[in-house]
Amino acid sequence: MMQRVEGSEFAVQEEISRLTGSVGGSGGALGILLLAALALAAVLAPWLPLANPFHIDLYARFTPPFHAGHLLGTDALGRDILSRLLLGARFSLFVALASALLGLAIGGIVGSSAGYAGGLWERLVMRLVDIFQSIPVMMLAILVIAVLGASQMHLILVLALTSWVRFARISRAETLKMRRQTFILAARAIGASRMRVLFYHLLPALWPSMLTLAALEASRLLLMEASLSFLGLGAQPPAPAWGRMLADGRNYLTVAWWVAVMPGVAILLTVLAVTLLGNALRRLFEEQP
Amino acid sequence: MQRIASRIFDALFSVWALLTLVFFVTRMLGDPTVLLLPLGASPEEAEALRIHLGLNHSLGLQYWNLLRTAVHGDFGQSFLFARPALQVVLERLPATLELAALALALGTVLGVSTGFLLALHPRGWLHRVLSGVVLVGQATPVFWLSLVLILVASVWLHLLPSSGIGGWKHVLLPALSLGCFFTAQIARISESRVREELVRQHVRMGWAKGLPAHVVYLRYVLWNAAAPIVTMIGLLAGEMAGGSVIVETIFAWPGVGRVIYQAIENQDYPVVSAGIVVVSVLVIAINLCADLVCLWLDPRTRRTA
Repeated sequence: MMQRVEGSEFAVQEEISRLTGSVGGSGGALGILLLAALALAAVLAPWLPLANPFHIDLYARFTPPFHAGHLLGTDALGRDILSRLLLGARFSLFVALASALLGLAIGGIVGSSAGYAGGLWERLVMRLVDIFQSIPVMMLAILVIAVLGASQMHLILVLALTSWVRFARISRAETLKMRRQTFILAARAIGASRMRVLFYHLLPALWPSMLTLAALEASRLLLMEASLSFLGLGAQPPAPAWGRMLADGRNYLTVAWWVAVMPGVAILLTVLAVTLLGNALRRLFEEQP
Repeated sequence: MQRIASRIFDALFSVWALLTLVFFVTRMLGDPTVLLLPLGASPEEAEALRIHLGLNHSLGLQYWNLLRTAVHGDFGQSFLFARPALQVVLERLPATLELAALALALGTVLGVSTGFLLALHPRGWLHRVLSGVVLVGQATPVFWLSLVLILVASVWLHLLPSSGIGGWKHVLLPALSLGCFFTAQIARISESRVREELVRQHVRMGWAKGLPAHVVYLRYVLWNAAAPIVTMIGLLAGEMAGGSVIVETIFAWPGVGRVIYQAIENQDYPVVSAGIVVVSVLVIAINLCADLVCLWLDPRTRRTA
């Protein structure tokens, strides 16, 4: 038993450091700024003075960036790319955030209860976690979405399904470290039930590591959502999705590179911002004793 | 020995769980006969096809059939090609292996050496530039990288072909796209591992004994840092499998990933199951190998719990 505990603590450091590394420098502020700007623009998109994202104007097709009032140019149907990107951002950001939080909720509860209760439940959970780790999750996601059909709800559920594993592993390992600590023992000593200890004492103490992991997971889920929508398994047309816009644009690479490149830049910047935020969170919580 | 056996057992268990998962997911689909028959086909014809394909049995029986036949490597006939599904998938496997092996090899060498450089130069312009590259490499979506590479190398510079299979020129762009994320991740873990090793006592002793730099770096630092990196390579192989579907679709690379994508579009269950099972078994096998290599690299993990 002892050895397993050591192994999992090692695994926590491993997991966190492998997700963030010590690369990245001090980009936290930059990340927050980027993300805040994007989120604000996405939320306010309907009220901003932008072209109608669904307005088709065949005379204006393939307008290059910075021409005729189209900041980022237009696509094959003459629709404004900037306003479509912002509309797509609403979808992508919401899906990534919702699935990361859902993954956190499931993984956090399952993992910490496994770590706290031990026994059969713990062994069952860890076996499930092992299985999920050895199965290529992207394959699973492609399969499930192809079968169930692409809707926002399905995307969130599938992405959460691929992400609860990491939350479960880390929350279990953290719980194992924590359950011998004085505040938990004290809570038990004054007669708190196991459930109460789990929900009122253990879970709140897990917040720092869970939040950090959630930011890092969100960036992974954003990429996955983009990949799925690239394959036509994301938001359905005419609703814009970044991955889909990029996929459509690749047919016009030779005549209008911006149609494919702009959504790509949007994805890259967003993922970068979320990653930087995650790194900053990690550093913030690590400095606290 | 006991450890090795238990790892192998775990791997087999994963394969079983995978088959079960794939089965329940694919059977949630609609009726594939609707898509396979021409418009206006009679209900009797549809029923005949369902019986022919074994879709008329109960779910439990269908599941049992899948398990029983999968052990024999039989996933049924492809609805679309009217050939054994496994055959359709396996004949595409060499192309996928070629691509993945190159991406893995390229990514491991590049990633480990980048990580080493980052750890050896913890500050200065080299560190800044390299860590910036690594960060961007982590955030770059594989499909976008593919497109940019095509745009730059094929459309603008006319250096490399944009699609298909052929000589080394064809494999270069897809391998780069597929290996990018992998390389960045390997670089990160290598950096943190090597940095931890550099300050340890045995490394200082190596320097104190006056050993040449390459002996200290390779034998003392890299050897001890290797086990987690190998584990990581195994874990990332799964991510790479997902990426291969996209890369192969974009570059028209005739591999398993592309066949899976096409099969999903055509609701060709047997090929979907066979493809996903083959790729996943491959990934599970790679993970098993990584585990075994770790047992060999790090004697501490050999003790049985």
